[in-house]
Amino acid sequence: MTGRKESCLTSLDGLVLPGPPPERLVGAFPNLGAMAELLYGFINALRSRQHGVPPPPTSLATLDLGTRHSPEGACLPFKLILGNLMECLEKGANTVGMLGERGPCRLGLYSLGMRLILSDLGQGVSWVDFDSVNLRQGYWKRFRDAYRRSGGHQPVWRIAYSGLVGFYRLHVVERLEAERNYILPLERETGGVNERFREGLKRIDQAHTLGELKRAHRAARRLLRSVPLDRKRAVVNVVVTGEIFCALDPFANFGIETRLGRLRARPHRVIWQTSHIRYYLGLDLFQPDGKRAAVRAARRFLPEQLGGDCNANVGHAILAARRGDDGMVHLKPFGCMLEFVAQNLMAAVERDTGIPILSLTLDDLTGEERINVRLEAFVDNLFRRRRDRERRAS
Amino acid sequence: MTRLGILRCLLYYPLYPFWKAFFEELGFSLVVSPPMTSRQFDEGARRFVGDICLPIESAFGHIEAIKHDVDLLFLPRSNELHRDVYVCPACAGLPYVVRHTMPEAPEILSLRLTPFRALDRAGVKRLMKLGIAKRAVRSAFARAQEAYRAFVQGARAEPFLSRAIARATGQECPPSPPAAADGPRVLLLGMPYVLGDSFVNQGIPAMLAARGVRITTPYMLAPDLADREVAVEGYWLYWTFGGMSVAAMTRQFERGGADGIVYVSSFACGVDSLITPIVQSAARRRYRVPFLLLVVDEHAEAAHLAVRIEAFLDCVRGGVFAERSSQ
Repeated sequence: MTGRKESCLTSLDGLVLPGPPPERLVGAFPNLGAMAELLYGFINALRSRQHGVPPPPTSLATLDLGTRHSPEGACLPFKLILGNLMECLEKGANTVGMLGERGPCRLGLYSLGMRLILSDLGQGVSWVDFDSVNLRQGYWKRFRDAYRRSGGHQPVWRIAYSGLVGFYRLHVVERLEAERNYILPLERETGGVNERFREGLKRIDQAHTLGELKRAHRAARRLLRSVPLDRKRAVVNVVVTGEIFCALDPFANFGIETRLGRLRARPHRVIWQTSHIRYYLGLDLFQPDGKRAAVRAARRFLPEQLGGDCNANVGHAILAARRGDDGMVHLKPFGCMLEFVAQNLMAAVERDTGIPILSLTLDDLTGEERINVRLEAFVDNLFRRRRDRERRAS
Repeated sequence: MTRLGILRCLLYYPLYPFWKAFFEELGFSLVVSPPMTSRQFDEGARRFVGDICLPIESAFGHIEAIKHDVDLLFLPRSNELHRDVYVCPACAGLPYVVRHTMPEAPEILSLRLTPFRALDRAGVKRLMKLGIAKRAVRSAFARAQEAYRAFVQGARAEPFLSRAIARATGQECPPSPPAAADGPRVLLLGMPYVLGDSFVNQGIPAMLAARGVRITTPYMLAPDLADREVAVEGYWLYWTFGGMSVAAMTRQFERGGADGIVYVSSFACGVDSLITPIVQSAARRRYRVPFLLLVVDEHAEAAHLAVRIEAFLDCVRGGVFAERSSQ
C-alpha cells in the first residue's frame, strides 16, 4: 500500500489550491538533516533547467513562522519543516519536493497538512511527493511524469546517474559528520573542529560528480585531521538516537553533538538518513549497528513493527548496552506517539541492562539552558560511573 | 472460571460488544474496570514516563483499578484493525509498555480481536494455550460478529456511544432524552474513545445536548467503520478513526449538512493534530459553517468548556456565518 490510493470510498477534494505551472522548476526541500543534500545533489547533477533552492539554515525566525501557521498539536518536525518550506517559497522556489511514508507516523500526512495550510493562506504550490513505499510501487513512473511535466528532457541514464550522485553526496556528508563526531571531544581549542567541518562542507557543496565528490571528501577529511587534538583525553561514549528529525537537525536538538563534545563525551550517532535508505533497500543486512540489527535486537521488548523509529530506538539501546557504551541520549519531539512507546520501553531496557538513558523531549518552547543543565548532569554521572567501575576493577 | 479484565477506555468504545460476546462464548467471566475517577487516574499516571494523551494516560489508572481482581488482562493488539489502516501507535504499543513498566500487572492476553479481520494464527495459538479448542474460537468469533452487527444497528440513532454500548451489552441504561426538533444541528467529531468516555471528554456531548443541540457523531453515520478508505486530495488517511471523522463529515454534508462542527480532541493527540486542519479547512472554505476545536486534558475545566460552547452556539444561532455567506 502506498501513501496514495487511487480509488477510495470517500474522498474530499478541491481544498488544495493548485500551483501555477512553472516556467522553470525551482525546487524546495525540507531541511531534514542531510536529506536536502541528496535532493540538491540530484537536481544539480541533472544539469538541466531545473535547479533547487538550498533550504536556508533553520533559525528562530523559521520556528516562529512554522509555529504560527501549524496546528497547535503538530510535532516539532512539522513546524520546522513548514517554516523552512515557507522561507524557501519566499526565496523563489515554486515546487516542493516532500518526503512521505505510509502510516502510522504523522510524516505520511505532512504533505497534506502543509498543502492545506498553505492553501488556507491563499498560496498554491506545485508539489511532488517522494515516499519511501513508492520506491517499490509506481514510483518511477510517477516521478518521470512529474519530471517531464516540469519540462525535463534528460535521458534516463543521466537521471539514474544523478540519483547516484545525490546518494553519494548524502553518504559523504554523513561520513564526514561521523568523523567530526569522533574527534569532537578531543579538540584542544573549542570550536576548531566545527570550523574545519564547515569548510569541508563548502568543498562538498561545489562538487557535482562522483569523482569530484570523492576528492572533496578526501580534502575535507584532511582538513579535519589538521585540527590540533589531545588524543590522550579520557572521554565517555554516548549513543545519540531518537526520532529522526530531532536526532538529525542541529537546530531542533540545540547542536547536541557539539554540546556533548564540549563535555568530553563522544557522540556516537546511530540514526542517519543513509541508515534509513539502506534499511529500505535491504543493504544493511550485515551491519552490526544498522537499523535492521536494532529492530531485530528490540524483538524481546517489542515484537511488533510499530513504524517510525520506535523499534530501532529500543533496539539501539540494547545494542549500546551490549557494546558497553557509557550512556545514551534519546531525542523525541513532544507528543510523538511512537517515541512515547520507545521511551517507556527504554526505561525498561535501562532497568534490565543498567545503561543510563537520558530522554529529552523537544518542542518549540524548549529552552537551551534546560538541555545544557540536563546534559551536564548526565555526562557528569557517566564519568562518575566509569571512575567507580575502574576503582572497583583495580 | 477465568476472570478476564477489560479496560473501560480506548478501543472499549467501539469494540466492547464484540469482545464481550466473544469472550463470554469462550467461557470467560468478564471484569470491566469501573468508570474513571480522578483519584484512580492519579494513581495510574505515576506508572509511565513521557507525554501522551489523556485516554492513554487513563488506561494505566484502569489497570490499577482492576489488577487485583482478575487472572488475565485483555489488552488488544490494535495496529491494523483493518489491513494497512492504523490506530494511534501509542495505543498499539500499550500492551508492550504495560508488560514492561507494570511487572505486577496480571498476565496479559493480547489479541488482534476485531470484527473486520479474522483472528490471526498467533492469536488462535495463544487461546489454545489457555485450553480453548480451535473450533470454539471459530464459533465464538461468528457469534461475536453477530453481536457487533446488532450493536451497529442500535448505534445509528444514539448520539452517546457509551449508552449504545450499554444497551447492546444488556446493561441498564436510561433512554436519551429526545433532542428538540428545532435545535441547531451540530456534527460532533473526534476519536470514539474521546467522544464515548465522559471522563476524557469532560461531559462535552452532554453539555451540547443540554443546550438543545441535535448531535450527530461519526458512529451514527459510519458505524461499521466501513468507510475506512478515505482520501483527501489523493492522500490516503491511514488512521482508522481519523478517516472515520472525515468520512462522517463529507457524508453529513452530502445529506443536508449541519449548522456547525465541534471537534473534541485530547491534548497531545498526534492523529487529531493533522485531522483537525482538514476539518477546519473544509468547514471554513467548503461548507462555510462555524468550527469549534475543544482540546481536553486532565486540567480541563467545565466552566471554561461551557463558555466556549455557548459562544459557539451563539455564533451558530445568530447566523453570523449565514449572513456572511449570503452577502
